[in-house]
This record gives sequence, C-alpha cells and structure tokens, in this order.
Amino acid sequence: MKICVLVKEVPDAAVEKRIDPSTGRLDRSGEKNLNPYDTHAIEAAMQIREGGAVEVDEIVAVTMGPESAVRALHKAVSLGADRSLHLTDEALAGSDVAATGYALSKALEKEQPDLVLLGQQSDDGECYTIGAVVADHLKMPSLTQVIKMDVQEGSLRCERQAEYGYDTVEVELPAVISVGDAINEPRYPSLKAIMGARKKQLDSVSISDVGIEASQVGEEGSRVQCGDFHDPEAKPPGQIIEDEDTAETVEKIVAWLEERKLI
Amino acid sequence: MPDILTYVLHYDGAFNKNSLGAVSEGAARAQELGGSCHAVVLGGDDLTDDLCQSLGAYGATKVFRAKGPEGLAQPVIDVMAKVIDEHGHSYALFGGGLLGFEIGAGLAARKQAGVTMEVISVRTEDGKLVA
Repeated sequence: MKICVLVKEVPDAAVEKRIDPSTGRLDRSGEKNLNPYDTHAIEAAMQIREGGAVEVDEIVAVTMGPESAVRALHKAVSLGADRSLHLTDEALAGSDVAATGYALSKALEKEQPDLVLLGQQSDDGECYTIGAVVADHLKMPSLTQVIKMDVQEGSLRCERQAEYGYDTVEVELPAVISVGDAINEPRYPSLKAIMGARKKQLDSVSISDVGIEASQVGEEGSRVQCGDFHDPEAKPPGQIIEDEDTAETVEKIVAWLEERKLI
Repeated sequence: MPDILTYVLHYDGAFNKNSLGAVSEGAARAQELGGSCHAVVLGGDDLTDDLCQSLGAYGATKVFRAKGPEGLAQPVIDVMAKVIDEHGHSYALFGGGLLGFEIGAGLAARKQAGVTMEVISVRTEDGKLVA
C-alpha cells in the first residue's frame, strides 16, 4: 500500500493571523510551522504501517506552497514519511480552495496512492474542504472527520463524527480520508529523525511537471474573489458587578436578568 | 438562470435545522435575483410526499427527491450535479456542518465552481451573491 499524506505550512500558532489588504491573502511573513492537524494524518499513516494488517510500502508527504514549505515537509519526514513531494510554482500563488484541491489532485495522480490522508483542517484557512475537492478530482470516495480507521485488504472501516452522532462507514480503496484530531496522539520526532529528515528524498515539481493547466490555478483560475476585509463589529463592553455585599450583588444580578426577561 | 439549489439533510424523519435555514436563505436571495430556490433531498421511503412538500413553507418552489444512501456526500454530489446540469442553477447553498462541507466542496470540484465556507451572511449585489 502506498499512502500519501497532504501537509501544509501554516503560520505558527503564536503568530496573530491577519489578511494583507493589499493582496487579499493571509499575511505569511511570520514564523511558520507544519499544520498541527496534519500531524494526526501522518501519525495515522504510521499506525497503519506499524499495525501490520496491510503492508505499507511507502508514506509520501505532499505539499503545495512556496520555497519555505520545504520545512513543513522536513517535519513530516521526521514524523515518519519516507519521502516528500513539493508542488511549487509562482502560478499557484493566490489559488482558492477549489484551485488548490485541483492542483494537489494533479500532483497525486502522478503518485497513484492507495490512500490519501490529511488533517481535518488547516490552522490558517480552516476550510475543512480540501479533501473533498481532491477526492472528486481523483474520482475517489472521501470521508472527513474520521476518528477511527481499521484497514483491511482493499478497504477501510472508518468511524466518523456526524451531525447526528457517529457513523461507521466502509470505504473501498483508493480513498481520500480527512482525519479528526481525536483519532490519535501524534508522536514527537526523535533527534535522529529530525537530523535525518533533510537527507530523505524530496522532489520539487512545477505545474507543467504534473499537467496542471495554468488557467485553472492562481488568482486567475480561482472562482472566489475576496474583498472588503474588515474586523468584526466590536461587542459592547460587559458589565462587571463587584461583590461587596453579597445580598446586594444577588439583587443586582436578578434585576439585570429580569430586565432582559431572562428569568 | 439565477436559481439557487439547496441540499436538505434529514434524519429520523425530520429535516435538519441548518438545512432548513439554508432553504429560507436561498429563497430570500433567489427572490432578489429574480429566480427560485429549489431543494434536493436524498434518502429512503421516509422521505414522504408530505415531508418533502413541507419545504415549501421555507420557500422551496421545487423539491428534487432521489433515493439513495443517507449520510454520505458522494451520492448527494452526483444528484446535485445532475440537477444543476439539467436546470442550470447558478448557486448552491448549504447549511453549516460536516455534510455541507463535504458536499459543497465536492460539488465545486465537479462543476469547476468556487466554494466558500463558514459564511455568516449572504447578500445580492449586481445580480450576484456576495458571502
């Protein structure tokens, strides 16, 4: 079995996220890191390999992004991927969700994976949707929010969180599975793995290498145009009632609630 | 055609509230665009005529009922894509939630359309929807 894990470089959790009004894109100038949700997908791939129910020949980390995204791939390799694939091209800049999913699907077509795993969301765009876009382009079944996965020869038995409870779904491979963060506890990379990550095979490919049509990606190929960025309306400040005299405080709280017909 | 198509999830013989909100929103925006709001439902025999007709109260002027497995995105995407192909809807609107994400994204890929999520308001501007 060959598993491809989609990963993404995102602004570090400590960095305040903001939209650059001049470009309409996320300001990615600060410290960056591997999307934490993707570490669950890598761990899921590792657990399939270590579980022994099927033989995993290769785990490949795949990303799309600028040159700096290589660091996210190194981190993915340090967590267990055997090699990595970097789709990078200036023509991809400004791609929306649909265009990004199309581009990633073209990169995956070349890899011919039996299973594509990804985290439930990215820590920056928080779209939850790339997996479904990729799956439709690859004509593979797709599930999101999977929190348990049992691998059999040629299929997966998945449990996922749905609106009305939990579903158990059997999916034939190849498939695209977006894992929820409850599926596992990602391991920490060893020092040896961190040091060795840079030596593992990393292939960089451009849009022409994987047959991406330039008209389908980037700002021009994106169907969603963003504009009019503004902060949410400020909420009125809350009222603080100091507890100097408890009986009086209770009276004030009850009066406040009664005034708003809450009791 | 400035018509809007919505998907209405149902479970245990009742429609999901987020989905009903999407139908109401779709009906209001479709009216502003000069079109209609239609709904797709997919499931088994529990999707009765009465249940489907109840969507009229939320503004749906037509309901497309398909038989198929519930709780999975791909069958819904297949049905919605076919309905859009045949009727030429300009927009598809979904209630928030897991299936909305899965179906919306998959349908966008199938129809080479744009997709946006976590939308908190939709308005019409120059004959288009702005989220």
